[in-house]
Amino acid sequence: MELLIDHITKQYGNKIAVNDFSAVITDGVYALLGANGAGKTTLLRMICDILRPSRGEISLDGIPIKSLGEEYRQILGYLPQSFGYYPNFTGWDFMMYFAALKGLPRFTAQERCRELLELTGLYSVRRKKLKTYSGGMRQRIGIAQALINDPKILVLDEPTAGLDPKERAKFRNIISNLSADRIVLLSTHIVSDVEYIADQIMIMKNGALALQGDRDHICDPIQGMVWTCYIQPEDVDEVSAMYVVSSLRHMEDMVEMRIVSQAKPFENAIPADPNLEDLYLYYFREVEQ
Amino acid sequence: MKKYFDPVLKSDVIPDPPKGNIEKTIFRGQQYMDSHIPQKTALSKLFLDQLHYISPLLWLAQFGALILLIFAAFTAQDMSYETAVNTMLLLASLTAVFAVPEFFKDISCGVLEIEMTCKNSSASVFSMRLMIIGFVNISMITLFSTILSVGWGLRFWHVILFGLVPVNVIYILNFLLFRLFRICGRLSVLSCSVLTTFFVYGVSSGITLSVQFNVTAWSIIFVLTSLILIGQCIHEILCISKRQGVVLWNY
Amino acid sequence: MTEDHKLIKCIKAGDKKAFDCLVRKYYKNIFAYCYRRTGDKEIAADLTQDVFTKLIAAIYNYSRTGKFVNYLFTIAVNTCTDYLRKKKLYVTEIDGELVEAVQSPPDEDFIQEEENETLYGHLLSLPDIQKNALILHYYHGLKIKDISVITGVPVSTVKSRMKQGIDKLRKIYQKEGEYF
Repeated sequence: MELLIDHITKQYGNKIAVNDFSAVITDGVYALLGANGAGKTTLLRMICDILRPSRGEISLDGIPIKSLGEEYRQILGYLPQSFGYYPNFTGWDFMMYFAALKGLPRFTAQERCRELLELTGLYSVRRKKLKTYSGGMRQRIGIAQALINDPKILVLDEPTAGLDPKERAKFRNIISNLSADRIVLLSTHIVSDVEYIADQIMIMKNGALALQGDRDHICDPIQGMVWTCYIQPEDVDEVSAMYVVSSLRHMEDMVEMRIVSQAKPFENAIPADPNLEDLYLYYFREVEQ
Repeated sequence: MKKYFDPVLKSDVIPDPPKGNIEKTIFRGQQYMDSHIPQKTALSKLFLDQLHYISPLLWLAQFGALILLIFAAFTAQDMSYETAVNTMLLLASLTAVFAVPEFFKDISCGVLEIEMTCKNSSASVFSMRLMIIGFVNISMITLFSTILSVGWGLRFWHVILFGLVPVNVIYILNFLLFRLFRICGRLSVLSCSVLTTFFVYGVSSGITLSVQFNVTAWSIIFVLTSLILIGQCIHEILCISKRQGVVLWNY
Repeated sequence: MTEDHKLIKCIKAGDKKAFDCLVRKYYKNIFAYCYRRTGDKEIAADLTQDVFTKLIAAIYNYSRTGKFVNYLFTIAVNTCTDYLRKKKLYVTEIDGELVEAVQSPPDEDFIQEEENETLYGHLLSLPDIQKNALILHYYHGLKIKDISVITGVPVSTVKSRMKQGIDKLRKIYQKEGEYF
């Protein structure tokens, strides 16, 4: 299965939300990283065919998705960044409603809803109204509905928003288990959610694809640019203003800082292996400068 | 002929199938059932599903209006023409108040984005909802007209026009306002519906009291408003199908 | 609505128990038919499984016209016929040269070890289309008009095939001094 995103642009008046974005997506987990307003949600809506691009085309195995229509939606599962529910819906009503809309026969729908509610830890509260659910619970049921039709293309927009660390870990496991023979595309601005599960990482900046690479090589552009430094506490502000600081830890009388810089920032700086967080901060700090 | 085959039939011994084969056959079939989503969902199923999820408030409004009319039937033996017309206007407006939010509940409740990615297109879902609500509305107005015309000797066609025309106008105005002002929250949709209903009720009540009833004029207005409303509905459905027009995320 | 159609409605709604009931109801009958056509227990079991797999794949488009048992037997007849056709080709290729497939059934290879001097043996040795009609009628109790629907040929053709089959059997028995 191959999803081809071919020079997609979305323009609202003078504002360009997505700018000439191209990518080839095959089976596996793809993470779309970017700051708020980078165009991730607009891009994902176009991939789900709920928004049409101003220019360019998205096709699945050579056929434009707008022509596929129902056939495409049959294999699609989508979790929007924010979603609501009909008043008085219980968790079970919510799941069964979407199971019906996704074309599942009644008994299959019941079985599937039960499985997914158990997977997301919501089976015991399925008869409670959605308005009584916490933010994390609503997010989990959103993930559950996206999986109802066992989609071959799963698109998740900020899926871990509102989830606690334990729920995030469970979510990562669910996604890892699902990714065989499937396209999973998830967008986030939380690097740790995708660092270990994404096969391919795409960094989006100002509506365009800034960088793409697999997990092992995406940090190559900043190889040799990450340093661990120990500085005096009173110098922290000055250093933070001058360099991209990936992390900061106060020790007894020194501060350990992880800095991303082309040149060695200090004499005592020790080279460190770059990670995705470093790359993300470096890319987006560059924008601000 | 059969008697010659009887010994054959009796001698014919079919061996038992290999052990576990029945279970294997059942399992294979059930696996297929797990993975299979039927190509087409029957329209009747879609219709029943949408009917199942119609808000109880809508039903309450419809039957509440009916109960009010029945109450009036028992208490008011003599109803003047003006009172009957006003009753009809009021009842028809009541039936429309909760119908409008029901049309737009997918947007107002923030569910449309997921619905649009489901196999059964949101255009067909919207159409089903339109049909259900439209049918219920028209049926109730017809019932009110029947009771009023039979109970108080009023002309059926006159009375029904006093129901259908304001309801058409309420819907037309709401469709326009929602799109013009990009109204999308639940409270704002309901508020708009209530305000529009009161407005239309007030205006039509004023008109009926001050202007001589002209069945031709009202019939023409009914036809025109019906055509406009049908046009608006088709436009909405086409916009959803073609992902055009103003939807929530195009705002 | 018949019991079968109720089961089908449930199966279409995704009820696995209904499928379980349906298979258990008809398995022996279909297995017996496949066995009578092929003469081999293992092959009959495989073909029976194929029949029910094809049934579940097609059931979502099945709409209630006529008896369900006819529909099921149509699948069974076609499945067995396809298998026998392939078998004939395979047999003829093994001979080293491509011999045109003939009507005489290859299931002579599979006939039970008892002598096929019995009527049953002679029945099995009939050409496939005649044997099939006789099996469906005499062993499975299907009416001629049902067999016509299942095999997709006119009633007159079914009658003619059955008559030809019975005539052949009669000739065999006349030769052997028995009459019927």
